[in-house]
Amino acid sequence: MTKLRRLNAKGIEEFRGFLQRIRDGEEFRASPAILYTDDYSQRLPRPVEIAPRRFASKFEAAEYLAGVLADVPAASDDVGLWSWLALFYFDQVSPVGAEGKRRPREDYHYIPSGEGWHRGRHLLAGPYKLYAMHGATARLLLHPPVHQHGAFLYDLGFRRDLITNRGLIESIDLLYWDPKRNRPRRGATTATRPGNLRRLIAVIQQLDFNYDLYGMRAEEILRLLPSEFDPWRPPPLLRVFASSA
Amino acid sequence: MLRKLNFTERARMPRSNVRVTLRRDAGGTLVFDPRLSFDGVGVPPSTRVFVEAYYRTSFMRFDCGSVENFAPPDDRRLTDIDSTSLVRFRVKLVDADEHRVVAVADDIVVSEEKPEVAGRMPLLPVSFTDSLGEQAWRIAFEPNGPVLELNTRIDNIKEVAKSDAAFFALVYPAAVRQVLTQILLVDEQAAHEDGDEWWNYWLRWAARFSAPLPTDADDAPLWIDEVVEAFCNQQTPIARWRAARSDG
Repeated sequence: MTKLRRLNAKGIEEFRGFLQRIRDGEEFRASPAILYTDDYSQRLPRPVEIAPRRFASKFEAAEYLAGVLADVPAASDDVGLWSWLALFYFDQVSPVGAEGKRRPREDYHYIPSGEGWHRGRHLLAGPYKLYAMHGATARLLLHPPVHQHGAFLYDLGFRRDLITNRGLIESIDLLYWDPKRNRPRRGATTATRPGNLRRLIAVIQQLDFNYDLYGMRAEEILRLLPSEFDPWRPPPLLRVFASSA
Repeated sequence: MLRKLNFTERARMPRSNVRVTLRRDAGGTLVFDPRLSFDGVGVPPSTRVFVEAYYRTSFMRFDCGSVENFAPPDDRRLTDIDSTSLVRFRVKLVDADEHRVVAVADDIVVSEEKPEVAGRMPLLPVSFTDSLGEQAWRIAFEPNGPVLELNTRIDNIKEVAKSDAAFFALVYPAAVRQVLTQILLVDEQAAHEDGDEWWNYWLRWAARFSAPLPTDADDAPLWIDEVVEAFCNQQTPIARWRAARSDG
């Protein structure tokens, strides 16, 4: 176990340089000194233990971090804390690719940035916030490995009014999550498949003119969807619709 | 000119019924204070009221009670809105039983510099941002219209934008040209007689300088030239710049 820390301004600058040096071809050295040196990072006022674990998915990482950070005040917007965590789990947020090299992405994937598209793209803070907001129904959004975003996050993440809508995220979970296989249903993001995720977003944006979707429960939203979504509806709900038709 | 039809059966909530003020709290976080009037809107008293704040992809929503009991929440901090000096607001009146939107006042643009808005939609809101790198300014085309973004890395940019004659001469005519080019040549929009989309406000404003509006794309470049020329003749940016230099 390790005591959780946060990078200071000097540590964050060093991390940026570190990312650039890896992009330029330098090798990654595990546990770099800035993680533990007071010049670059500080311990939290109240000690918090964290373990070097491997996560099977973003969901697993978010669930674990939610537990670790439960008593850390204002954790979600702490740039130094999330930068430190990205460096601590660097092997997972920037793994070695098939060609034997790490290829770090833009800095905001590792060091939180507060604006526009970049907001929420941090590979650990983004999933943590979604888990805090949606709990278990975030499993579809957070199904991919830690270093990837995945189609659901790409398609939904650019609209905060969609991604923060609890009823809608639960609807999406009911439609596209396969509870038997514990993964997204096949074809959910296939553009040619009727009732796919992008079609759902298009329909939701039309419904948004007349309905206050943000204030609706999942079942109420599902009831508004046209028949092209019938094959995706969970069976019990489908029976209810059939009997009330 | 085309006429528009209202298919949504929504009541109209005039923008003039909405007043929103922006301020910073002690911690520097942007906070909004709404004042709404429901006069003439024609919805039941039990209708729910929601205020939504948004800017680009960021979004926050506030439950403000009902028409008969308008009660904004105590915490109105815009913590999830992208760091900007500009925020857009939407007031949504909702039938609580059926979740139907019965009236909306959208695109209420409020800036920190001009905090109070009552029924007025600025044609070109200004946003001060640190995300422009080495660009001094840029027109950002958002779904609700263009925004003039100015780089906060320029010293004293807020004062420069407000009163510097050289800034006006170099930025505004070019901005007008870019916006009209986007409307007519890139998006190929047609003007509606009573349209309330952003481009209709722009075209109606521009038609004051050069009427009539062009009817086909071939005429548009010349018409845009005429508008920019007439705008400059009215505003006399060069004369103001020269006067400012001789005063200095």
